[in-house]
Amino acid sequence: MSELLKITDLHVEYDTSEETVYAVNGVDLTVGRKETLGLVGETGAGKTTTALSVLRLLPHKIGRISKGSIIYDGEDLLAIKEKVFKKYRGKRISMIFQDPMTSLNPVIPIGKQVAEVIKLHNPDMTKAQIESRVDEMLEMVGIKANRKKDYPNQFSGGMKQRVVIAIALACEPELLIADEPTTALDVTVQAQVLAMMTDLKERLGTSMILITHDLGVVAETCDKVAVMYAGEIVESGTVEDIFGKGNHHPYTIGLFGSLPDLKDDKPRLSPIEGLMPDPTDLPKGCKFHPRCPHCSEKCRTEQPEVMVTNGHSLRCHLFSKEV
Amino acid sequence: MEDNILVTKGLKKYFGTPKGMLHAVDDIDLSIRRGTTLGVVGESGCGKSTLGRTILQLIKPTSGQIIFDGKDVTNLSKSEMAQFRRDAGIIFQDPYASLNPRLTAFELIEEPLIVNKTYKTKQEQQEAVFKMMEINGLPPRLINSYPHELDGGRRQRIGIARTLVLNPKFIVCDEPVSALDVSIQAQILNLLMDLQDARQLSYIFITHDLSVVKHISHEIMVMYMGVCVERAEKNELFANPIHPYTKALLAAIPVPDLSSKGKRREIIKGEVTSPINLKPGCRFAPRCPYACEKCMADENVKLRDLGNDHYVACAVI
Amino acid sequence: MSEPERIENESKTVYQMSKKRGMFKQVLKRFSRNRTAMIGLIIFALILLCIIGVGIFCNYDQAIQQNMSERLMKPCAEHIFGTDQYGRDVFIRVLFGGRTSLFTALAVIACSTTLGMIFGSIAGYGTQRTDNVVMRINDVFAAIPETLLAVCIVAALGGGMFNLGIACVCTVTPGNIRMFRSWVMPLKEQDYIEAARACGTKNFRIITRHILPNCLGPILVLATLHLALTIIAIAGLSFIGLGVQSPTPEWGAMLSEAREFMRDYPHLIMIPGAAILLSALSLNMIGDGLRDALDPKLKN
Repeated sequence: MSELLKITDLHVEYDTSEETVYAVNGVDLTVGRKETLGLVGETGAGKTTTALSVLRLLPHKIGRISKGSIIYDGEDLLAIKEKVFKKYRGKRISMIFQDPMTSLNPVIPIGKQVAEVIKLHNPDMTKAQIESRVDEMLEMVGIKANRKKDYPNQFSGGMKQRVVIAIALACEPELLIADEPTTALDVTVQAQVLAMMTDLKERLGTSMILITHDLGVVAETCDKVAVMYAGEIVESGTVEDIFGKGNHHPYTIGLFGSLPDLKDDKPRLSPIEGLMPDPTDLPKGCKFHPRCPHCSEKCRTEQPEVMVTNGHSLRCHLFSKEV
Repeated sequence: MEDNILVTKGLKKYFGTPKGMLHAVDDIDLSIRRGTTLGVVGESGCGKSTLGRTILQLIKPTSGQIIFDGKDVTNLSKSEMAQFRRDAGIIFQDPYASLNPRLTAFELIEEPLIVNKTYKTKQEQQEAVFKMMEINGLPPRLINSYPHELDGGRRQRIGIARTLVLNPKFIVCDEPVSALDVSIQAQILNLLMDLQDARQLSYIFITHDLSVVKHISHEIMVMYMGVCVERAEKNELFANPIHPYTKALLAAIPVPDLSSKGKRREIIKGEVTSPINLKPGCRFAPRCPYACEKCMADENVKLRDLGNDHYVACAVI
Repeated sequence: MSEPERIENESKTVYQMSKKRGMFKQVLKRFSRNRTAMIGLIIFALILLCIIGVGIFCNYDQAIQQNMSERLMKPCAEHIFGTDQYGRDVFIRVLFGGRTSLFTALAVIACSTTLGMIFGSIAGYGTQRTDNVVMRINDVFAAIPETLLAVCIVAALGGGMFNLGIACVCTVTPGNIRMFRSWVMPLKEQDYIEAARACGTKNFRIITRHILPNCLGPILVLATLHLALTIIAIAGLSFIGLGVQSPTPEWGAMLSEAREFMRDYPHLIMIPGAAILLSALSLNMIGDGLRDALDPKLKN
């Protein structure tokens, strides 16, 4: 499978008036064509920042990419002029945000909002062509075309997220970045939306980066998984690698241990002790060492290298010894 | 008669809206044994939060009885009400919105003690706060921190400490872990369960997350549009769900292992609507794959006892 | 003593010693970074200092004693701002006049803010019915044009600074009540108010402990901006003769008295005018700075 997106050694910093926040610290990621990559991690792990860097939408003047490269379809995204890149956004790469309530404009009918993105990227399309494309898109996400004159507040949360998805897919992008697309939805609606997204993705041949904290969602929809912690990818591989038995990063084990299981009864959960490190003052050595049950002297001082075995990569001293 | 801390009979709460009566909580009967947890599950808008607030008298019920510790609490005198407020507490979903941003951690936990004049001397009061912080895993150096300086997990610990400092017998937990990350969520769930063991607390645990509710509850009640559709002991409910809505909910949870990968799940269509101007009969019928004529009559969809403490409100089964 | 015990005891003492910090300090820091606001603060502080300090060096008699031999002098070494038509030193009169103007304005704002807080929180926090009663009465006051209302009140009660103050309180308060109510209402819906109710907090304590401190920021901003407006309003009302009786110095009244000499002796009108302008301007600058410093959305 050829690579569509390749991120190497990405570092992102946010400069505030008082301090520097190290949000992303050396992320390597590849997304192949027609592949779904799940990016898993807790709040503040740098998942969204990574996604925003790909779209070059980091907050102006505050966020900056200090190191690394993002190669998209053979092109260096960080070197392209902003004017050219604007044409990529929405057309080749699009993004779905977490909250469907705030990502739609409340005073414009939804049909118009879908039409807007089509018009922007296809300036030579006629009005009738655009209209028929809007109808097609809405039907595709399961909204009747005769509702296109309705305003966002006339739709429920799940329906709004469908509209957002229709907008994101309107120009048939090659890569779709979905930032917690179903977190704000109820479970039964989440199941509907996820099923629809997987379906559309297969039909349109889109690649997807799915950002989520829900390991269940990842297990069901993704091909590959990357687990992020404190701006680093601590473990990545295929879903089978991550969810299977094999070797795991202690943080991944902690994440699974924190989940209540529906199948068997654990009397107590085994959470990860402690808190996420402060991104302005990250610990030396392995970023996870203050919370790690297997922490050794080496972990405190030395940053572990990534060890790759059969595409399953781990960033932990525990496994570097063995290899 | 079992030792029930809380019993409600025919509890109703209707809100008047411009479009008509909204049946937020409709005819709920429940009982909670002392020292156990009743999980209330449902999707947004099913009335589960209103139920919790109505039980605590933060919202006056439209009709029905709430019997707490053997006493009807819907019509209490001022001093009895103050006692009830000490005995029954609430923990909120969003630990940020539920803490006054102008008060420090210490003041937040101290506040209920001042209000209720629990201790006579300042010294005792301070000691009680420090003890409560220790129980909840809050290091004493945080006393002067404001909520916005702390992370979600610690804020929720303050929220719990504040409720617990009055030594209640019963707590309504309104989605206490939904806003937290999984690793922090597990810490808080463990804390809540330890506290229950140590202090014989009874909880109503309101959530939309079935795996959480299974973990913490003894008994589970499934709500849909203001009514209880199924109620049973937790293992019974998960092993033997009967109501089509419960089945749909269980099927919709994404499971974090690969056994279900690639399998098509049965997904119910549609979304929850507001329970305004209801037609008689089952409220789930418009989304239900098994709906038939029998579902359109109110008397067929009353909660029935199937034995084994398993109650269900469905006409078809 | 074991290590954790020692740390714990230490922090207990820390708590007893140190009082609040944090939020207030942050606001102060952001305010001090705002150049315009700091200039405003310095100007206003200087004005206040002069007005208070004048009593040490001069006698109040100097401000009202007529001295016809020195009438209508241009600014010179002896009288830096010159003298008026009765030979009184304009500089001394402006400073003593500032006492009347500023202190009345301060008193007016203190009263109207307190009234606004009381009735605003009653209307905003109370039931629909109390809200309706308070706000409809409030509407009656708000419906009359401010100047007209002030004129009517002074006409009914008679002239003088005290009555003028009452008139100003009556004109400023209705707007305050409406604004404060609009700040209290969204706070009422907050979870922490419900949490306070759930542990049995009485309504009075909820308002004083949980609601008012959380809208203190905007209240402070509004009060500062209103102070500027009130200074102008008092000057305006004195100008049309509703305030102090001569020979008491007051900025608006001084302007009024100087009208006929405006053409030949412009300093007579410029000096009190500048005093009004500077104090109103500096207060507006402070108010804007405060708003920026208190608005959490502008953080960073």
